[in-house]
Amino acid sequence: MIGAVVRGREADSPFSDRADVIVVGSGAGGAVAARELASEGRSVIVVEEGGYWGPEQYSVMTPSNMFRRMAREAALGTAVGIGDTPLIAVLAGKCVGGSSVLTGGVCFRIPEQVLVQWVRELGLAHMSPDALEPHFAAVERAMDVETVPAHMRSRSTELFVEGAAKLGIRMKPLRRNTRGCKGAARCNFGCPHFAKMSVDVSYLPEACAHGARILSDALVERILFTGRRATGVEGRFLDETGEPRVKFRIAADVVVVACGALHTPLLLRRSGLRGRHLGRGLTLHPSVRVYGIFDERVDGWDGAFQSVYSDDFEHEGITLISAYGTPSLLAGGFPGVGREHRRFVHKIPNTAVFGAMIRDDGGGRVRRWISREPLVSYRLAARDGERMRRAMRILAEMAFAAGARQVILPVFGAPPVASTQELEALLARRPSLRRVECVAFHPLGSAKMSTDPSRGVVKPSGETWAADNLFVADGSVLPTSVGVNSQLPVMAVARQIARGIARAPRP
Amino acid sequence: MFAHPLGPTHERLDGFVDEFDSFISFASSTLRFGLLVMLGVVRFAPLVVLRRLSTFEGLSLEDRVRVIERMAASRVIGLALVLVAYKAIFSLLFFEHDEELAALGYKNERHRHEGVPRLALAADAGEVAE
Repeated sequence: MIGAVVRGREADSPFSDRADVIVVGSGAGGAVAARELASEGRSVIVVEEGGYWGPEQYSVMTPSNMFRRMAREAALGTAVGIGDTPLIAVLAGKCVGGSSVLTGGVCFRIPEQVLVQWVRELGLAHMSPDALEPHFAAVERAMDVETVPAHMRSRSTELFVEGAAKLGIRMKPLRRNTRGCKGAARCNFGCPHFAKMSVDVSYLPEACAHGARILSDALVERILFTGRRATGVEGRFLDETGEPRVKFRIAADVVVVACGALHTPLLLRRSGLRGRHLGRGLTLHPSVRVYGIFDERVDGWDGAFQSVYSDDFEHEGITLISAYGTPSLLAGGFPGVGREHRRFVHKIPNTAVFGAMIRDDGGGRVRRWISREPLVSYRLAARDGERMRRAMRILAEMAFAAGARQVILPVFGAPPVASTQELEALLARRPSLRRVECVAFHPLGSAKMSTDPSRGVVKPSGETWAADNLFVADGSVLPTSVGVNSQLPVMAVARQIARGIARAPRP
Repeated sequence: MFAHPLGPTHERLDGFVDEFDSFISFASSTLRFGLLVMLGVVRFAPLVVLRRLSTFEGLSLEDRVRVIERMAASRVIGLALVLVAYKAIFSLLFFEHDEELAALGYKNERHRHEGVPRLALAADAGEVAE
């Protein structure tokens, strides 16, 4: 039997069904879990709150259309900074395929030193490099993870590399899950060429080929239990703008929650689970970008969205990474008002964008809030704040080294700087981190894995400590920040969890 | 914010307002309420920033720019964040217009639809329910 997508927004009567396994969420974690379990002969229903948009629509929707339809909160979601912490924009997907549709496709394995820490300090023996190797390898094969060739670099990235070289910083090519990337630099809005192997064009079709069914526009409101045992889910189908419509109820032997680190804790709490760690310890990988304005025409959109990185500052918790965006996305980051702002925007063709990401402590918390979306708060650790300042300095110095005439730091109200002396003067004033324009794409760790119920939310198997047959298979379970793009780590860990469920005797 | 040598046309601005409305309708009620509060802050900012008894829309273009510039540079970071939020949304919507992209020389890439693994779409929910 070949499964299919059922658009819940088109359902006009209450719906009930049964499956061996329900997977809540169709992003990187949920898609892998669904495919692995379906391929082992389990009947699987994937329930996704977001809508299903055929990949051919990625090429015809404008960026704002993509955001409003496929991103949570129309991409306006934020983590509220506490103390000297920026307001952090957090981009997360809400569509069939989840955030994998909106990522740059960058694929890193979890750094070995992080895994060693998990094994030695947290006792998670099954997270050793050797134990995760087959899972990383399998996911990389399934997603066509390949090294971005040098000829795919945009001029913006070449300048990033040139600036780094002049400062003695080594750059390395990135790996991404692409097949025939055309270099349109639109990865954040769904690949218009279907070259990015997001899970909606890789894992989910395979899951469906093994019989899995996908319900889109379906909000799970709570998990159902009999005693301690999870027995299904219930919720409502949503219309296009997310307003609730008719109810659905699905019974299952196993429930796998994969809503992502922002929503998994909320669903577990709504379903009655409690615990000190639920929703706490969220890490984000806060990121900053610096604009360099050059005399030459850069046209940074012409090339791969991301193609190189540097781990030279890994010991300081900083990863340098190239990135670009569409002009409309970059425009908001330019200073000025009215005509002045417009003058800057017209320099976009001459602008290169340099980025950096911080490996952060778990200073975030996810709480239930007035609406369905969570209240996310985040306190940047003092050490991470210094990392952010250091990252901005490195990026600005690289831009000047590459020949930038002006550099725009991501600090609200700060004027562009035209020399390293001006840069020093600006940074010497130590602008408040609350004024820093900061984005995050990797929320993780809000339902941590632990070897002891007093220290986490799920067991090493992914099953919750509080309920039987209820598993979490997404970025929530990662016990610490990984310091690298999280898609591949989430998928590998989800695969390990799913294989464990598949091996266990059926309830 | 979108001061133009000749100014955007009325049609363009009307369309922009509709686009903005449509865009935020996909956000949660909490976030929309937050944006509404922010708009109120901008609306009455001239009272505090210029010490003038006027709403924002009652100001000349030059004075509006002054208000926004002062808010952006304000030590009260909340005021700056109000502008940042609106600037990000307005910029996203305004500068994706074909006219703006053409002025930047942005080339819209070609699209290929062939050979894509497609998820089959069931005719309706009842098909699965049965």
